Amino acid sequence: MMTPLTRWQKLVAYSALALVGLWTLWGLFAIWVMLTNPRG
Amino acid sequence: MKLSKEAHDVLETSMRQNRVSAKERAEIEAVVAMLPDDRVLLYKNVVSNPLGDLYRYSIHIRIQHMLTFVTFLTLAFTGLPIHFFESFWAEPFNALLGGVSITRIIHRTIAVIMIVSMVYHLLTITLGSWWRIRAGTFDIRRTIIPLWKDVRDFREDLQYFAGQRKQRPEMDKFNYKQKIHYFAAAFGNGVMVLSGSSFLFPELWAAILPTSMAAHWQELMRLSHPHEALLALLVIAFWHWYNVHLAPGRFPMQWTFLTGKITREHQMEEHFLEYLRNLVELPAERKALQDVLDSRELAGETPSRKGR
Repeated sequence: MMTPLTRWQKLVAYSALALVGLWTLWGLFAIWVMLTNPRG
Repeated sequence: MKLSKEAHDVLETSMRQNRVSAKERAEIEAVVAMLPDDRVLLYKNVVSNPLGDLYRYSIHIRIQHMLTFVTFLTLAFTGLPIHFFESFWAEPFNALLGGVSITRIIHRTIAVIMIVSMVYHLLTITLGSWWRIRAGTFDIRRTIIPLWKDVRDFREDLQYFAGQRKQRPEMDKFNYKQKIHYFAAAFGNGVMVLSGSSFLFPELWAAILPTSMAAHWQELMRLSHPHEALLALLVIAFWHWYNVHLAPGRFPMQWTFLTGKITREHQMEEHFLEYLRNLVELPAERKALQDVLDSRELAGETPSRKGR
């Protein structure tokens, strides 16, 4: 069992998670671009 | 716990390499014998610090990961508007940076940093292995090199996830999944450097290759670069980030890339053979484990769920 995260640890971890989420959206955009553009 | 032959071999090798005394050997064997056969019982009951309990990555590996992490994201972010520079969405992006020619300069500069990181990594693993061989502490099972055991671990892990086994296999410091990921990344880096260099130095490649092949080579590279980039992007966004952020036990983030340490719980579950080495190398870990076994009354537990 894990000891609970402190406030600043939660801030770091969830901020990283949010960035990852945003970057995944960029990834989905990249896929869309590659699949729809004839230059892909 | 009755150790499997592999676990026994790992333990014996580690005790020999660390030149443990007879007293320490007896202590290690006693604590290992007290482990419950059901490892799920064990790792569900140990107390772990989410920032990590046990050493896993040196500062060099962490710097290399950070360099690759930052350069990869920046390269993918600048590469797309370079490749599709005429698209409606790419024009404002390139304009923001000062035009597509500036985006290209940024992309190539970051690529050089990524290559430096690759060279740094190759030096680290080569010199690190050489140093361990000389010191007599090298163990191939503890490296990223794929072994036949990984194939068996892969099969057994699939059986576990299909509900046909009660426990995960006893995996080493790097498990089959990490090895696949590592070599896929290494291959991808090779393709990107090769194709990128052919855009940057077409004359050089034309001089090296036979005349009949030069044009085909450029075309092949022009196709490889964006598609390998997309593949890498997919692997990072949907595989790596699942494993380090979203997988049960890792949420919201695995801290190893920052602290260099892995949680006790995680190591027992996915890297049990490395945990056995930690029991040999770290007297404090033997003590911590002994405390858990005593306080949770797990010592000498009769296994109710046989692992194999």
